[in-house]
Amino acid sequence: MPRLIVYRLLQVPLVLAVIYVITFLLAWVAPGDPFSNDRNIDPAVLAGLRERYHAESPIKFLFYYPLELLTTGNFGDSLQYKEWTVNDIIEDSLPVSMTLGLFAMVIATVLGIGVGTLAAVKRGGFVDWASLSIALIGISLPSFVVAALLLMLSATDALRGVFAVGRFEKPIDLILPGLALSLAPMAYIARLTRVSMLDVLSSDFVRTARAKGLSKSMVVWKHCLRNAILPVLSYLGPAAAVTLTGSFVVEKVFNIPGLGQHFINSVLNRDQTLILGVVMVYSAFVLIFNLAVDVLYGIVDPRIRVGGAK
Amino acid sequence: MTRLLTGLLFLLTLVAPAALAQDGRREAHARRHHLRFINRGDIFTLDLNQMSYMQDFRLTYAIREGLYSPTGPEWTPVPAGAFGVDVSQDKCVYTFHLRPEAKWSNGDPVTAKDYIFSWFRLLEDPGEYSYLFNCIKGARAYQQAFEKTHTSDRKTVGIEEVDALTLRVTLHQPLTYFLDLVAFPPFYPRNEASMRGFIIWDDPVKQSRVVGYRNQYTRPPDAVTNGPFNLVDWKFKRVLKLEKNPLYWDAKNVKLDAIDNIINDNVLSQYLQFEAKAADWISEVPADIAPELRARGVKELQSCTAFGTFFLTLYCKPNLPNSVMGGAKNPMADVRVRQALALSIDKSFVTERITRMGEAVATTYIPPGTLPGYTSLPGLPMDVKRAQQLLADAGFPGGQGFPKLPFLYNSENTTRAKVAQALQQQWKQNLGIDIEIEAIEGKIFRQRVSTKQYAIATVAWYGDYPDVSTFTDKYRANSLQNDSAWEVPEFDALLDAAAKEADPPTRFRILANAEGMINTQFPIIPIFHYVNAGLISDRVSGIKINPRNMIRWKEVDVTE
Amino acid sequence: MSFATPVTPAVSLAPSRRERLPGRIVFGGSVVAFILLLCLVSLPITLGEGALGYKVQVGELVRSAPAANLGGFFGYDMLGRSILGRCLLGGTISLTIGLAAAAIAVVLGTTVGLIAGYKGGWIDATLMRAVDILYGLPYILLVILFKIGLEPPLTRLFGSAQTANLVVLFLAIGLVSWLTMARVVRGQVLSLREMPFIEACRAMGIPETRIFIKHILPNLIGPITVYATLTVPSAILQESFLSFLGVGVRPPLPTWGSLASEGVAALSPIKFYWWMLLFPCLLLMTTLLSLNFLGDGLRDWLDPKKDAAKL
Repeated sequence: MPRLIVYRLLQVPLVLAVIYVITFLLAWVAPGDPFSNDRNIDPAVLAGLRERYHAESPIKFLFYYPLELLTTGNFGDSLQYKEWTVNDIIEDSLPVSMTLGLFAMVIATVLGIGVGTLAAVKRGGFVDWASLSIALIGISLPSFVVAALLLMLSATDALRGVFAVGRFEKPIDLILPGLALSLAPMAYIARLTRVSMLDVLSSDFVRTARAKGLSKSMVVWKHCLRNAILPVLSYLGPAAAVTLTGSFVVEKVFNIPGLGQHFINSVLNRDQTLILGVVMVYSAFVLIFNLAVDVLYGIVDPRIRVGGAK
Repeated sequence: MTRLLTGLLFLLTLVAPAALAQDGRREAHARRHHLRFINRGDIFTLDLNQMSYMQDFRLTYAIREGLYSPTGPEWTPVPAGAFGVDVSQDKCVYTFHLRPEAKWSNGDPVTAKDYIFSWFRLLEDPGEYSYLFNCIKGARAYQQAFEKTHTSDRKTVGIEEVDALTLRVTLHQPLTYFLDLVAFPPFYPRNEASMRGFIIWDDPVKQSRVVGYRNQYTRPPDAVTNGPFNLVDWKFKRVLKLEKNPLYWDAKNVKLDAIDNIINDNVLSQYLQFEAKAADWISEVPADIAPELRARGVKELQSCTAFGTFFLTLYCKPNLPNSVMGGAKNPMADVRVRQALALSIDKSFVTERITRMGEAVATTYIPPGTLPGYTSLPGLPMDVKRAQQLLADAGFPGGQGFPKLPFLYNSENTTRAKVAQALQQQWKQNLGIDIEIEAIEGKIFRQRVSTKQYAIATVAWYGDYPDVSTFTDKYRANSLQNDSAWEVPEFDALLDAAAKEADPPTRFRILANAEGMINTQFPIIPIFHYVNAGLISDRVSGIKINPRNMIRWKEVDVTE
Repeated sequence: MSFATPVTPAVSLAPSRRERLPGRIVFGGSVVAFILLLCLVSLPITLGEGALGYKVQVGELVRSAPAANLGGFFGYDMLGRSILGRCLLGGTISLTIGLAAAAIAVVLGTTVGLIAGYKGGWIDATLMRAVDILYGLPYILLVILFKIGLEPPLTRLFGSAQTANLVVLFLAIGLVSWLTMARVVRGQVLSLREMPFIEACRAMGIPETRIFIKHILPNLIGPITVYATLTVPSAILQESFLSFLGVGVRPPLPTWGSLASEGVAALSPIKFYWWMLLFPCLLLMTTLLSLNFLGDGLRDWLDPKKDAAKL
């Protein structure tokens, strides 16, 4: 097992390098100029900017920036926000997105597993329907609608003054955006838990435990959940990677200075250095979290070897 | 399960402090003399070379100062960094006398060298507004020579240091609005010593030529400025904090102690912040919310006609560009077709149903009443009958045989989306012609318009400096900004005549004739003149919404 | 590098001893069918003048609240167009995008999954690494880049910006939706290959192609249907997100997503044009909820004991 982990770790830089090249190609092929703005720019000005940002040709760009990244760890200057380096932007916004994302993941995990378990125990009944429907609303409405409604909610007379708007400074500022962000993963977790719980509930050891006289809730929450959680765990890996790197919509609606906005804005601005920066961060998150999940999996359930899915 | 949650919560406590950068310092502070205003997006740049957006200029007026400063109510330039100017008999030589008490925020005196350094930066590392320097003798030639050889003789340019506190500028020919230019941020001085750490060399080892300066020189704590306020903190996408500059020569007349420029992209949350008194001023009220506030008669909403016009630009060459319908014959090369398109539009539908900010329907290119002393010739009003006749005369009776031209707009702009759909209907109804709406992403839109790969597009133009030429020069045959490819020698001749004219009223008359050609031949179809709108709390004094969104920061104050 | 997802749903053979259709399938299926039918039947009317906005009555109709007449049942928007009409037309387009994306996902995902699972070896490794790499890219960024990059050449190809726009949307959303499908199918094929009855077929000397078509493919239909059903709602949501960003379907054509985002733009504490938000969202939510119910129900039904994880 340690050997396999090392093997997987060694693959990470390789995969990242491929992702870097693919992203670079896509970003460069997309029509539109990072330096254009609302007026036509003098060719002399444009040439000056290109020289300055090593963007005279794709070849020069592709050789300059990865080299810089490998030697100094810098992604270069943002082409749009010229006062800031890509590293500045990531260092500033990633902690924000991670805080919000972790908070949302906690909500999603607790509520999702709770709802899913409840639905499984009461299979087919009203509780099953109702809890699943509520969970599914989270993925049946566009997030921009949900987030905007939550923001409007904070402006109603009853809640006015409780939640500050357009601000991200105090822990209470996490609640509404955190809730908005948690809905989608919560729905998935609830569905996963329900399905896997149903499976566990019908297995032999549950019958044995019940026969031994253990109470139903004891069996469900202590014994079954431990076994039912495996698929949830494997979902949590990629989900955490996505959630922790931020959400464009939630950040836009609640005016949160996180990383998520840059996934969209960098593309719309053709800010090629920033595109590469955020994609690399995202990919690193995905790779590392999946590796972590695989390792955890091996610990929780020794029958599964890392790489066993291959 | 429990362990998993504990792990997540543990991680949360690790990253949260870095993210929730709470700033309790000001919360306890008295609210007097502390302005908090909301900007739509973050500042793009505070570098004087590259600056081109209004919010960047607005902040620059607070932290920097030039020889002259625009001052209300007409925003005429008054002495600032200079205390006076001697103008020669032929109105070509300006000798500025710098204020000896003017200081940089690090205590250095502001000298003629600082102006010369900054002005030559714009010639050697050209930016969007370098063209404004073309009025100075030898500047254009210097810029072109420098671009080729990276070296040129500064003595050939009419910018000289007479002594440490005297600056002499020589122009090609008299320019009635030169002092207005001097009051515009690209003409502001810079402190070279504070920027040395940010030089970009052509070769990091040999260090023979300065390519430019990294924009980081504008960020605190490295920024050295000379305005009424100092930039003390800049949190990306969150806030810019300004404090009164105690070294400013006129500090006793600066009323505010501190300014927070809050960055908030979201329309709804901006308004909620204002309502909760967490902000005193929303500098640009977004199009989604302003009309509702206006309809409701909210007293904090101020608005006035802006120095800008929303119009359609029409491609005027005999054949369409290759990427549009394969370069087919362009019906809009015929002036009658352009007139028919223009006269059949019900512009009041746009202003009353879509924009709804009391915009004036535009029949002229230049917004009326925004330039003191200038009156445009009247344009052509809506006339569907005449439009149908013109279209028939041009060979398309009832719209028959008219090609389905694409109508381009940038898709992120919701107002333009609605205007495009409304005009599509109107042309169909009034002229019987079909157009195809082509909504494209912003950057591609820019590329298509600036390379003239379009047929009809929605665009806008805001004037840079308070003169007619900031509008009319756009349609010179060789102008970089002439998106319509409209080339009319008579028009250029009028502009040349105006440039040589020293008498202001005569000059305006010539320019009005030139503008009249645009208003009747329609390389563009003006739809409406923009309105600037701001939400200003009654706690604030000294801010008045005006056409060019100018502000005199010294006069702004906040009471409780 | 692969996800340790237990995306190896056990093989469900012998689709015989089935309980009756669960309520969720009946409910979800019939609601979706009803809405789809309604949208399609009304297409001749909605594609006509009303919903696209020609012949607007300037004046009282603009942004007015729901009224008793049929066209005004859901109210009117800013340009005086019937929201009901636009909702129905938008539904057709949204559902078409969902179905097209699902179709692309099925074709591409199944092909890749089948080849990887059946051939194994270096082909499998290469294909799955490619899938991993695509998973490692933020999909929304990919969708936008695809859209931006493909639209200009396709506009020239089709000669119509509107057609090109729709095709690019189908492609962009479809191209990021096939990854899960590929993994599911591959997992399924891997476990099928080891099944005793396939071994038996081989031993009997039945040719590989025949085994493939006769015995492997039929066993894949279950999971493919389930994931295809679940791809539709997520594709519809992705389009709505693109509309929110202003890079979705081109006006004057509506989608539920663009209608909802117009509704959100009309949301303010000063005046709330509730009908512009409520009706498109209600339709969108009902449809997506039903599709999700249908998908979940199908999964339970086809595979009652399985913990097939959905990413």
